Amino acid sequence: MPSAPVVFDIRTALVFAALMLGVGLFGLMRRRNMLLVLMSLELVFAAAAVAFVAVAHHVRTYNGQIFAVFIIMVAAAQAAIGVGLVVGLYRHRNSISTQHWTGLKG
Amino acid sequence: MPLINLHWLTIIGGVMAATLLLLVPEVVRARGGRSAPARAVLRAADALAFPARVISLLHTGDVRMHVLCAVVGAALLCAGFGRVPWPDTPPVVEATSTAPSPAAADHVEITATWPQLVLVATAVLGLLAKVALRDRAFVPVLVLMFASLAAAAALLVHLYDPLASQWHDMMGLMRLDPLAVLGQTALLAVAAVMVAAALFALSDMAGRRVDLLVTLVLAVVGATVAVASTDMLTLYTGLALMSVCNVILLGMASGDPAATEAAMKYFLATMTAFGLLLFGTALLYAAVGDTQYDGIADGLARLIAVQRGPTRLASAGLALVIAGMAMLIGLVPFHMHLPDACQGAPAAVVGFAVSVPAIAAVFVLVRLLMGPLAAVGHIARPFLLLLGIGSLVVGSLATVVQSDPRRMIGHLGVALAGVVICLIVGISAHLAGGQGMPYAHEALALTLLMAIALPAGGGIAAAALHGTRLDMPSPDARAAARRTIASGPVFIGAMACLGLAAALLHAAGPGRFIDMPSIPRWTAVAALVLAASRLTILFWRLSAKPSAPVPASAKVRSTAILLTLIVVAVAAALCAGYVINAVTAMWP
Repeated sequence: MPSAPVVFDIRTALVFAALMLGVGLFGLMRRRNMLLVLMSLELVFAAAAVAFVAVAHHVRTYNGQIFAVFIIMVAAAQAAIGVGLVVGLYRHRNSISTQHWTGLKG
Repeated sequence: MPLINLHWLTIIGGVMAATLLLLVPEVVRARGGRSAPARAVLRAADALAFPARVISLLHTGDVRMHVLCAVVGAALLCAGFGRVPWPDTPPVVEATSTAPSPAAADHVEITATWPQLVLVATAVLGLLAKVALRDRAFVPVLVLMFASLAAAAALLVHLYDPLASQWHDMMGLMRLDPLAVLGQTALLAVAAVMVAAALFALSDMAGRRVDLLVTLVLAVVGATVAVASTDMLTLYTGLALMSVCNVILLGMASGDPAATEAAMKYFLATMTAFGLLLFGTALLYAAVGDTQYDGIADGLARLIAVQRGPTRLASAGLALVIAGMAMLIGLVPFHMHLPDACQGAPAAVVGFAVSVPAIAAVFVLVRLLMGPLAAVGHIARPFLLLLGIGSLVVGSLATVVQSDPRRMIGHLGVALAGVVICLIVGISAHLAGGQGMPYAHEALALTLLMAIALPAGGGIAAAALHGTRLDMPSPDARAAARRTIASGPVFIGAMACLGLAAALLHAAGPGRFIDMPSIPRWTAVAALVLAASRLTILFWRLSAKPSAPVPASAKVRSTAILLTLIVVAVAAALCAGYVINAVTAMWP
């Protein structure tokens, strides 16, 4: 039986991206493990990339798709820096939990 | 305008009173404070410092708190932006588009990117030199780097023609207009000064000195690209390159846990800022259908003319873009990471890492407010003003209870960013109003110069105060000389605060100060006076007689620097007064 085509319009795409953003930001606020924090950060960037691609398809221009490629590229560089920081944190205190890194405060 | 009048006397009296309020408890505490009057003084001081302690307690050092404040701030901005009605009449959009002609569409004009290409070539040469020469590469790379910064500045001056009908433009992505030339030249100059200052503190960078120089050049490339951007794509890539390089610089002293912590906090905060900025850009793109500044301006004008369409989408996008930029500048409540980064960063890079992002972000915000967001500026300005005043109050109060001078300078940076934002909001309101203000562009240029000078001075002071605590005497002559040199920028900050507070009070007479009703205006003045008082105490402590003799060369050098800085401070204070008077005198 042929299935009905799935329509993924701009509203649905933006709501989906907003949900991804919300989940990413919640992870940033909730998680202590630096690796999970980095994954939440990637979710935030992925949300922006999804929104750009959806809008580009909707308005029939290429700007959004190019933007999404740049977001993915820069996010990869940022992830590399983040993992380097995780290694640095672990070397100092044998822990990658952010709750052990509260020396600078006040 | 008389030099001495009631306003100046009010300011001087206020500063003296505030200084006494802050100074007397310190003296009492230093002498033991056991008698009944002494205990009363200390109790009163504790009561006065209560708000400052509350603000200080909020800085828990937990990165999750930083993100929470940013998310709450962004949500409040979104809610606020959605409630402000859009204007009834469409704005007059000036034809600033420099789209390439059909004949020129076959080739790409890269003239606007020559300075960046020179800097990137320098970075590549530096890396190759490190591979070839290893430890001996530092001096050649240092010379090459200064030469490239000078060459890039010379190229900017050469390419800039104030009488040209069209600026150099690269495919609508970057443009060498006056704002871009001013911002890029300032960034190059500040970078050169910060590198010169870093040369005195390279001991904790052993083996990584060439890496430091190369990373620093690449960060300048990112900042200059962002300042000259005419598309959200180049804005994002420029700022991202700058931030990634800054994180590397902050974490470069890998043996120091504080530096690693500072890098981690700065990384998470800036990445959150980029998340907000990108999602806001996507929403704006959905509302207007373009990411170029000219396209965004046209799209917003169309939305206003039709009074239909996704205005709420555009409002949310605008709010998120403003939130992202505020986090990069360090405005309350998006500021929590800045004092931490300032306190924990290695001495060699703290000046650069603190000043360059703030300068670049201020220039970018000015470009956005004057260009693509001008049509909806009346929605953004009140919220920016709130962020500015909040930064002034919170930043000034938080300095009161700090004992680490570098952290104190971080909080003061937040307060001074608030001052600059208030001024920019006022000037952009004048320019948007089209009331023929004769000094608007001069005022804007002077405000931007102040936006360059204040973080740069703070950066120099923060770098020079490495390893110094206010509650400890100078252990040796070298530390004493360093403290004396650092007191110069501190003095500049105090003078700038005084000048601004005086100008604010002057502005209260003939006109109004940037739409501020009297209570926020006086709050801003009080916060400035408090900041100036705290800076005065810091200056007094830093320039106190050292416990060990200072070498004659250090004395001569620090005195010369101090005298120069005093002259600059007086000029800056006069300029600030001139700027605000010029703005407010034309206000209806």
